[in-house]
Amino acid sequence: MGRLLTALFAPSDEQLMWRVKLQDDAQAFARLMTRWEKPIQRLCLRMTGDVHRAEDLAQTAFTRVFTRRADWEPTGKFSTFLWRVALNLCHDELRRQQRRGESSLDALDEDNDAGADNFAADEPPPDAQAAASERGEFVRRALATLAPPYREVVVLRHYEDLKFREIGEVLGIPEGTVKSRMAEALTQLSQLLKHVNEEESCKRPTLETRAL
Amino acid sequence: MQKTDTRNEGAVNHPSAEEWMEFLYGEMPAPRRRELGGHLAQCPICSAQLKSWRTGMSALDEWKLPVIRPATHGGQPILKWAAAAAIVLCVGFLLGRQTSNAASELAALKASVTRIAETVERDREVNAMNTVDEATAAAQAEVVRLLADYTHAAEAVRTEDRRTTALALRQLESRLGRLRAELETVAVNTEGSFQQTQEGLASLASMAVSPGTKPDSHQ
Repeated sequence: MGRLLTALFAPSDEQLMWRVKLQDDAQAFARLMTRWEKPIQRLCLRMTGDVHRAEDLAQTAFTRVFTRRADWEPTGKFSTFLWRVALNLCHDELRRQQRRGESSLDALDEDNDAGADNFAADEPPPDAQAAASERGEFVRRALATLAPPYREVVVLRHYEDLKFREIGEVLGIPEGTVKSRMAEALTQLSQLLKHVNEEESCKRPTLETRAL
Repeated sequence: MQKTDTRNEGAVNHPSAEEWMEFLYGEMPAPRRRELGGHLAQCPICSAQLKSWRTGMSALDEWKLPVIRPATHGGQPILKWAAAAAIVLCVGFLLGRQTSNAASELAALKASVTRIAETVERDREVNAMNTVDEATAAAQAEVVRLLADYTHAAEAVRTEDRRTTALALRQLESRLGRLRAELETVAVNTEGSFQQTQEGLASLASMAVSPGTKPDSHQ
């Protein structure tokens, strides 16, 4: 009940950002960070595939929003502004990775290996858990092969549950383009991943033998 | 790549890929949704296409994210509180085993976990505030830099103004010197003229006295 009342009377994101913009209100900004920290981290992680970079990118996104608070238009939604800043940072990071010849899959492998080691040291995972983990790894790899314009639409619609119209506003493209990109992304993903569902109960080839 | 545009094969109008996306993600009004559902039941082409897309969607759900720790500076506070949590839990467990029955043991453990969760939350909020402080410090540094730039620019303008004023004053002084010299020349000339006039008047006066003496000599 108390939580419900708090939620009802809590200031909106836009009201908080208005205070940040006009009065440099640090407490209001801290509340915005508390609300949006995890979604932004998730977005950066799904886009880059790297847990540590995602944390850094999320912090950079909030710092950038604060330093550019004067650019925020009170007529627009705060979340649209924030998603856009975070996505731009993700694109910059992906371009840097491309220039360095890095792949986010490398980082994924390292993280997963480390995670698997830690898990194995405590208790062997059940078979179902291991299978789910392997399927998740396939999905991560498949998503990383999608071009960023498709990947960002998938992340925002499927994982972050934004409406197609909202995604269009964030990306500055027509809603119809968002939907056609989503359809194309799902088509590519289903082709890349169909064997994951088909071979669920059959013998499963190793990661190395599956060309994505 | 499968075709995703609106298709019209024979007499059947297939919904576009954009419409199917609205359908799949529940963003379609109910009447249109019912229409597409009816079409789907009769159309093997669209049914196959949707099955393919649903394969992609269900595969996406397989990727579960690892637990993301809150954004902290270096992650040390979380490690610290995790270690503290482990120690408190172990101590609580051992003490409970020694001194209490199962219910009180569980209550003590729950209380410990609650306290630790509150402490972690407070720590997380402090870290968030630290991030804000850093951002504020960066903004203040930027303001100071801009102010320094402005001060330098203003100082350059003032120096230029002083130089221009000094030049104008020197020119004015020079003109005043020339004017003073001309005035002195005029004064000297005027004095000479006065002397000549005075001498002229004196000679006129002496001439006027001389004719007066002649009549007396005739008498």
